[in-house]
Amino acid sequence: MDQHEQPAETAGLSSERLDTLIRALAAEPRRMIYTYLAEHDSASIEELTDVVVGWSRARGRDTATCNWDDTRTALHHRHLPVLDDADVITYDLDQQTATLASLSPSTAEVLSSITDLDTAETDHED
Amino acid sequence: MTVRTLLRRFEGSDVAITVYGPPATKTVVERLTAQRIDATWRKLPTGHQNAFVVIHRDGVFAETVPLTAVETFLCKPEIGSDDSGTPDSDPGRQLLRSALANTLFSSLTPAQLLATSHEFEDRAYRVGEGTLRVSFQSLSIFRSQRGRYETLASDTDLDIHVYGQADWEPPTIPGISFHPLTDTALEQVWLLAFDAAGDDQNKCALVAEETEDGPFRGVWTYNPRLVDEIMTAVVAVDE
Repeated sequence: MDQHEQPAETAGLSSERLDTLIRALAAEPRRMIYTYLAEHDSASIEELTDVVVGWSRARGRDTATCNWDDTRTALHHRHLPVLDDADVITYDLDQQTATLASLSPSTAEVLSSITDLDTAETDHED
Repeated sequence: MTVRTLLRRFEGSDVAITVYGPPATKTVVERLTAQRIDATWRKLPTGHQNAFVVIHRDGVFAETVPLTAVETFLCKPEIGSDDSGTPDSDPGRQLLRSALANTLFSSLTPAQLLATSHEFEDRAYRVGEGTLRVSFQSLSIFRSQRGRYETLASDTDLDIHVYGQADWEPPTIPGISFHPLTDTALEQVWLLAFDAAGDDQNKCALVAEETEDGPFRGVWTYNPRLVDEIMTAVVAVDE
């Protein structure tokens, strides 16, 4: 990534931070989780699993993300910790609840741009 | 077993439906609530085509279905033609039927009952053998379904029995037995039960009762024991 070419777009974000955010949303289930929490702020792992399974199936994904138990396991062990490590959410292991972190405007803008591109590509307004 | 006692069994069932989608999908929540089904809406920018519902039974995830399938059933049920075309099978519709089986709807319209009946008649057509028992309240209502049933009877080895109040002199159709009823046991009942020639995987039944206000209270099921029970109860009506 060459920061010098796009200084204004991501003002205030280091190259490392940008890499972290992009990696955080590098998997479709994590983009779904971020999109949902951006609307609802906080959710239990069960609710997030419902969202990932339902949305994946609605998008025609014929993969492991369509199995509820496998998806819950993947969220708990992989996706939610990745988002937590990136400081996008906080994942409370005891309560098994994810809450959107307090994000700087530039961080929120980067994340929203990625998820907006994703929904524009895969979900269609009729 | 009367239809009322059968429907009562489903009254306490714990079914909750969450609709995920853009604001326009709230209409479906209203339709579900009108059926006295516990329904909530959660905003999600899925676009209309990828909106979906999640069904919980007894507090745990049971199934997810495209919103469009639920919407079609609740808002504009596809009755299809009643001519003699070969029945098809639509995976979206079948998924909806199985996801919402054993769920008591308190306000079904004749169009919704007809759409469900057609789905089950198509299943009977595909299986091609076994006994199909139907009651459309009055025999005269069968007239609008005659084309479909003539196809069912002529293309398959199905043993078809049609029950209803004796308000019409039915024609002779090979493969179809008519049971004109003079008592009122099935007067307010819309019913269809198929035993799939003993194949538990394909048994299905729809049972609905007309309410005093007009719409029907009803349920459909794929539970083989329940289907057997319904079949037996219908046979007993005409004995």
